Amino acid sequence: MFQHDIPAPFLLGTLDMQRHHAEAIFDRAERMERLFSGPGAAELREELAGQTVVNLFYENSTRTRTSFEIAAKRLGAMVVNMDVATSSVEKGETLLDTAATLNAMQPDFLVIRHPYAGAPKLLARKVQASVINGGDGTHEHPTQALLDTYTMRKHLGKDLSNRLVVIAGDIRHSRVARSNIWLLTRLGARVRVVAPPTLLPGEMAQFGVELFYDMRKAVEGADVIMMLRLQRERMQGVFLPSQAEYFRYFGLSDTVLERAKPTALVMHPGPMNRGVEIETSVADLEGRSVIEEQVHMGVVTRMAIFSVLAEQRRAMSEAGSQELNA
Amino acid sequence: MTNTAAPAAIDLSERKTGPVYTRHVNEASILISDVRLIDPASGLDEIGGLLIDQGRIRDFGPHLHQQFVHAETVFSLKGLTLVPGMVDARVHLGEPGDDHRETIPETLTLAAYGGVTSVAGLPNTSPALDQVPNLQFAVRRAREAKVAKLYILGAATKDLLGETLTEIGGLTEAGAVGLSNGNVAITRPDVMLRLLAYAKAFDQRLHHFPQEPSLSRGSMNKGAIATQLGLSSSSRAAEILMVQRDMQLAKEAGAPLHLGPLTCADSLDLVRRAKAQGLDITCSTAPQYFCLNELEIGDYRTFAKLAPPLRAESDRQAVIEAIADGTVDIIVSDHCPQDVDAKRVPFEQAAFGMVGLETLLPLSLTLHHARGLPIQQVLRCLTSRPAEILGLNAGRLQIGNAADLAILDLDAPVRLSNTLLRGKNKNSPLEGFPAQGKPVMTFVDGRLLFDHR
Repeated sequence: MFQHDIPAPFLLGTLDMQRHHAEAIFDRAERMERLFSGPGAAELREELAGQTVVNLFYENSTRTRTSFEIAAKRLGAMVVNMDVATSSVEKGETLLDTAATLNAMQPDFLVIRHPYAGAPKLLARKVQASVINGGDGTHEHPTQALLDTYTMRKHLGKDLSNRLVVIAGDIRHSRVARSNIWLLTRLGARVRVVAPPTLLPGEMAQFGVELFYDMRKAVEGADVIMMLRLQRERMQGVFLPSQAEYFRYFGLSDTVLERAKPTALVMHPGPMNRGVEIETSVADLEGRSVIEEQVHMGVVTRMAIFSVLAEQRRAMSEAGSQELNA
Repeated sequence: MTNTAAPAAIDLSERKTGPVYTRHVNEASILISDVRLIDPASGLDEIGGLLIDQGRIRDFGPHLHQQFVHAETVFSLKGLTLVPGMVDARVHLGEPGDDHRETIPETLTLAAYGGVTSVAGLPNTSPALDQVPNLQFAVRRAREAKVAKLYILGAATKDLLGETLTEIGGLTEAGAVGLSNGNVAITRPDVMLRLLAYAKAFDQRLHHFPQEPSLSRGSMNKGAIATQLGLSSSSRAAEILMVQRDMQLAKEAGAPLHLGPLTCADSLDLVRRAKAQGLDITCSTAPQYFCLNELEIGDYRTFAKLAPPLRAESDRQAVIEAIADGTVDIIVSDHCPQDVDAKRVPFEQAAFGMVGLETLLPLSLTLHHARGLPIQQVLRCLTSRPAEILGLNAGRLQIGNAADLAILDLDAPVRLSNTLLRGKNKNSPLEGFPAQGKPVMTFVDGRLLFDHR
């Protein structure tokens, strides 16, 4: 993706992502998956050879960071993990000062996760590297949405139009939900969101989704049920009375799953709270639960994202040098 | 028959040591002639002249013309408009404690550039202006500056914590022109009720910031845009609830109350009804709330992060309506400078506020030029009415009063630009906003502070 005030190609969110951009990433992911498991693995290691990827994580996340790291390494890139806990961030350096410092080291990619919405865009305006949003506050998590959608396509076919996806859980605070809603609706899928009213802002309806408080009604006819993680600090207090009551009305149990299509997929971006939002028997249900597959597809999709952005960067620098020669 | 009238306030007239600004007077006589004189307090709107002598208004009216009056200096200002210097009843101070945001002399210089000759400073400095020496420090800094005049809204509670009353009598003697708790509402109803009652003894009006804290911790207005941007949000209910509670408590205490800045339709409607019932409730709004809406935040523009937050378009229209029908008494700038480090951070982390002294007049005049409000009505919200609420002998043309005057070019087209702002911090979301009318000269005590004819 390009924007006039951002120097390099980027992946910041799915809200403004056009369909063909998403499809280019899916096509690339297919290629990655094919090459990776066959004799093409050596070829893949040339994709980002000599390039540097910096993982700048302001929030703890072993899973996502590792997924980005493995994806980049499989493409031959050098990966640096900025450990925020031991860096100057702890000494009070601002995001933009960190950006200036990193920019001076000329990395090719910056993967950022930040507790505040909009931080990746702020960073993207100030650096020459391609910025990939690894999750910003309660705003967007586009790589998760792309990998979720890619996983769905593998099972449901490339055309997701009129497929019914139910997203359940803490919609209000979920960047995964937002990015998925925007991407899936763009691809023609029907999306339902279900949560208690305290975790489901009414304005969500503007995104073209159906709102539900009743989990059992929401999952009727679903092709996909995507459960979201409920943060521990929300389990008691003003959002919800208790963990038990949450599971009773909003958790995914066998009896709830029965109401969906018999082939419905069960998804979860992880890490799961077993017994809070999802019953163990459902989470491990063979043939239905694709939660582990999501993790695998996460690496593949992130490889595809690096690859597509690298291609755009090459095209941009060639266009730039042509301009200079002209 | 029993006398049910409330007892009179304690007479402090012989004890007050408050701001006296007569020390920096231009003693020369000045005639401003061929100028359009507008005085919202009296309804005057005529071409004429105004004579200043010893820093005071000696005479004014259509009869004053340079052919008949002798003065040491004469300004012939054909095509320009003379109005009483504006009175801004809500300005955040950077001193004491935060000079990097703005010093008091810097704030008062910006005021003069904006045609504002009297400023009411908020007490939410560090330390807060909750004791007489702190208040005196601020006033002394202002006197040294010799620019616009500074008055202080004394802190209503100690450290602005909303728990204990300050020495309101002492603050009043030192010159406080009202009470305020800064940008934090007093949440405890019992404290609020006692405060309103106690302040009556000193004839002080509380200028309250009515936003229930537990519902207004977010970064922007609650609604569709906040949900899309993934930002924490503050509900309109925060304002509506607090306005309702405050008015009920003011009624019970039989005390006057000022609320503001108000930003949404429902809270303005509550004030409208309270006024109709005859309660002594006054309220303010600020230009940002009738010129901008929440869409201004766009791609996380931190300059548009304000407290209270920019609201929806329907609220913006309601604010204009409330100014037009007189529900809103005064327009304040809510000037709040923030340095670059406080704004060049992710939106959730950014500080609240915008600079507003220099843009107060051009933005307010859009109500006249674009919405057809009478010029007298718009200017009244900026001059005589705030002076009345603060108890200042200012904001009107009156013989014998200090010659605090603003000369305006009412029709000049202006495109606001942050590069034109003169303060050291330029955090204004109004970059590129088209307006009409600007201040071109400002006099304080007969001294010409700036001249941009």
